[in-house]
Amino acid sequence: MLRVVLRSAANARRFSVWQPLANAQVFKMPAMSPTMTEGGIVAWKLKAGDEFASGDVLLEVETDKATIDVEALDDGIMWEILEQDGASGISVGKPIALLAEPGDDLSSLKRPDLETAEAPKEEPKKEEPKKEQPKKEEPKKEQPKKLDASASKDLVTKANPDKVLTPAVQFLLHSNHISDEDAYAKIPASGPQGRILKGDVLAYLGRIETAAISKVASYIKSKEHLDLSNIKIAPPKAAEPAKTEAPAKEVAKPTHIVSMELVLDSEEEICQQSFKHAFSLALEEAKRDAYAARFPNYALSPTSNGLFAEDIFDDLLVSPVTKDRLQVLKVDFKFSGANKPSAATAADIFDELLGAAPKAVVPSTPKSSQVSVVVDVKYDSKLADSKQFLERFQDGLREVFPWKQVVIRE
Amino acid sequence: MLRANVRQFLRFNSSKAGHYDAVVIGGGPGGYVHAIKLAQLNYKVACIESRGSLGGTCLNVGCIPSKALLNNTHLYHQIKHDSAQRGIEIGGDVNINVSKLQAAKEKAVVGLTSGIEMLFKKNGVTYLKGKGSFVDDKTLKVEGLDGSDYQVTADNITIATGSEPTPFPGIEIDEERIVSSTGALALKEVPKKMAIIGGGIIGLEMASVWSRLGSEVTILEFSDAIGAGMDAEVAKTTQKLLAKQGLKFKCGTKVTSGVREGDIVKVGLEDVKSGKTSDIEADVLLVAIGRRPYTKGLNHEAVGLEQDDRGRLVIDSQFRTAKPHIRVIGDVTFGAMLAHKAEEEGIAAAEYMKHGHGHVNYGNIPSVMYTHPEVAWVGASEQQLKADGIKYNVGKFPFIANSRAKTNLDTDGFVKFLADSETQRILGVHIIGPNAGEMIAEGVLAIEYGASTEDVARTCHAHPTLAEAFKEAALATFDKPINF
Repeated sequence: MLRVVLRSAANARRFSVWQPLANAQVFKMPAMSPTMTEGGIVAWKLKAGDEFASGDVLLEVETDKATIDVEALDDGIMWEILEQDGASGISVGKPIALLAEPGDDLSSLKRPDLETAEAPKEEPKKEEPKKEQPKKEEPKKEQPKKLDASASKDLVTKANPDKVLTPAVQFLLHSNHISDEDAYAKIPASGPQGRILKGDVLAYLGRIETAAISKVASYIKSKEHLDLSNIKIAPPKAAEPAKTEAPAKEVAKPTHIVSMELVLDSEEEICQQSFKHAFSLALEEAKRDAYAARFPNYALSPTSNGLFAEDIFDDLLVSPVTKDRLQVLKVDFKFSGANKPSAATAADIFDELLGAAPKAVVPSTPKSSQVSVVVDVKYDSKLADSKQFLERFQDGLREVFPWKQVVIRE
Repeated sequence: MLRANVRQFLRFNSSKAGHYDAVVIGGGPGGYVHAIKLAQLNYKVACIESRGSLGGTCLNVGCIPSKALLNNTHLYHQIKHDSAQRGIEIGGDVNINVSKLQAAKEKAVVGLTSGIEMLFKKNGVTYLKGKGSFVDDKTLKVEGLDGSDYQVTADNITIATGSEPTPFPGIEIDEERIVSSTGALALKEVPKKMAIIGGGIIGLEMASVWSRLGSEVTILEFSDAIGAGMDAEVAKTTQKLLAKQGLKFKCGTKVTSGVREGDIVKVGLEDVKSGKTSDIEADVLLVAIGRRPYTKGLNHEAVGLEQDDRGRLVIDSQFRTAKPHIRVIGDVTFGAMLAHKAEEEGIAAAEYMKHGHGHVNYGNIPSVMYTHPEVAWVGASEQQLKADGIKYNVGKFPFIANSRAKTNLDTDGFVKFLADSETQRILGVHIIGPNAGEMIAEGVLAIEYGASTEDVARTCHAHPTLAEAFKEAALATFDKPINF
């Protein structure tokens, strides 16, 4: 987005080799997003008189969404800053600085008319490339010269001396006794980021038409972007939402569900949150154990453990369980007695990491309490070994806590 | 026990519902790359994937498994038919064990998909296993694969739900006898006869796999040429070389019906020009006529996201939808349906989100078909340049004149450059031949830098390599080749 803006700001100067102008360039508030209408200047990274190279950060612009660095596309000199640091609510397109080309004599530079510059030119300019390209492809009779020239403004730029000369360019320059410095200074470049291409040198030498360069450059440019111009919007579908609801109901159909009621008596006070955490882990562990007999590698793998293993290649070597034998559908907790509702300090990750003694799980005043948990487990009836898996799962769950009572219903 | 569990829980299972800076729907090549990039840009990211393993179509039922099958069947075919002339004598029988072949494929797939899971952990991307759908424009419902149901909220949402095989009207896919690419990758035995609707990349790759293992394969293509999108000359050469390997082509043929009768599929055909009808029988019919955007159950209509007439979600040049904080990348939106295109968009969309600018050069995205010989291309084809009225020069170099190809006894194909006739800037590179898929990278790089063919020709290429053919073809575009 920014690039577009900067390019258009510098358009008039692109052909400075051919038409030397000594006008300072107006740098306007760039639109950092299509919706941006105004923005603020957080800070200028340059002061008046500083030179900058393409890619340097000129300033930070603040929009309603974010603070964004604005980079320079071309080399230049900061001549005058019009809107200072901290200025806010500057509408897009308002001049915020005056720039000069490298090598410009700052004392003799002409100050542009800011009133006319302020006219919002952003919008039409942004559309310029879009309009031109289709035009170029269809009619060839109508002023082809003019079209090429206007397209080339965007596509042929001043050569960027940071871009290494390619082998063919070097060969051509040397065989025509043109120094690298002269090449960068005199040959307009049509390559990406101001790279001089072989065709640019050929045109400079007069061996091919200048128009040929912009023609191929604009052709390549036209392919660089997705063509989003002729989108045919499909009419909204009405039946869609109804469809999505149907499969959801199917899933909920209660088939092959085993319900386990587990009751735990404790002389100590039980922290509800900790218990829930622990129980969900116990569920995972029981499930893992259930699978272990059949899929030993899977059960040991960090994937099933939810742990990040040191040996990263474990992940790569373990084949997954092809089909889930059982599924935990629902877990209901019922707490009675003197329960502590939560344990705020238990979640201190730093304690955990530092290995400090856990504080919250230790009850303050021992009291008796009771927990009953109902677990609904759905098993896959199509697979013959699902029942075995289920039994192992139940056994596993029994072992984890000293349950007082376990009821299993199908 | 209890305490240890609590500790583990806090560290690794902390509740997944909640608020994120960004949520990505879909963990394919576009989505997972996007999610990792966002995490690296310091976003709190979650990635929702309903398949149960990451990597999307590409890793699970696309590029990766097909390449495993292609490489191994190529080896088998070479051992069986190509070893004698190389002085390798095989003592006993050479046989194929399809279940082990499939197991080798599966191992590669599992390794790579769980590798992404590891990358998620490494980069701090939360992996939500389940099906994501819109509740409102900042809230997503996740129907977990474990039966859980929860909601997440996000400041930014990226849709990367990918694509699915386009069904052929009137032909019902059972993935057993009438298969899509997914089923064609998982056949348990070699079909005696196989018919394939569609002579594109997927169709030709699958044709190669099963024909190498002994299937009699017939390609049914509606248009006059195979290899959708290839340069016409390359497509013609491809068809010739594949026909030499035993594939049968029926171009200009319309499929009118495909019905399973027991273990046989009957396919009704009609000649496009003459209208003459005929029937063929096959043990397996593969429907590979393309892919279409996948948005099932996404409930995107509810938040006002638009689709075009082909089901693609509508975006602007920065991947944003009508709701600017909801972005779309990959197969489910515009552009070529290629994994590497989606990856590029994943990176660019993340950078747009963070910095307000990003870059994908859609004019320079390579395509590769992994048959043997391989076919690869980037940029414009001859027919495109003609249509666009661009004058161009052609430079070609055949592998028969390349020393490495000659020593490898693998000399089918050529490298072809298309360059602007005036400026000599490279406009397209088309390769058919050994290792074309790797070699095309040089063409992509050259185009990205705006190189002329002379730039490539003046760049040193090691000898003896296949890449020398690339250099010579560049030379042939503006001058004469040395070795031909």
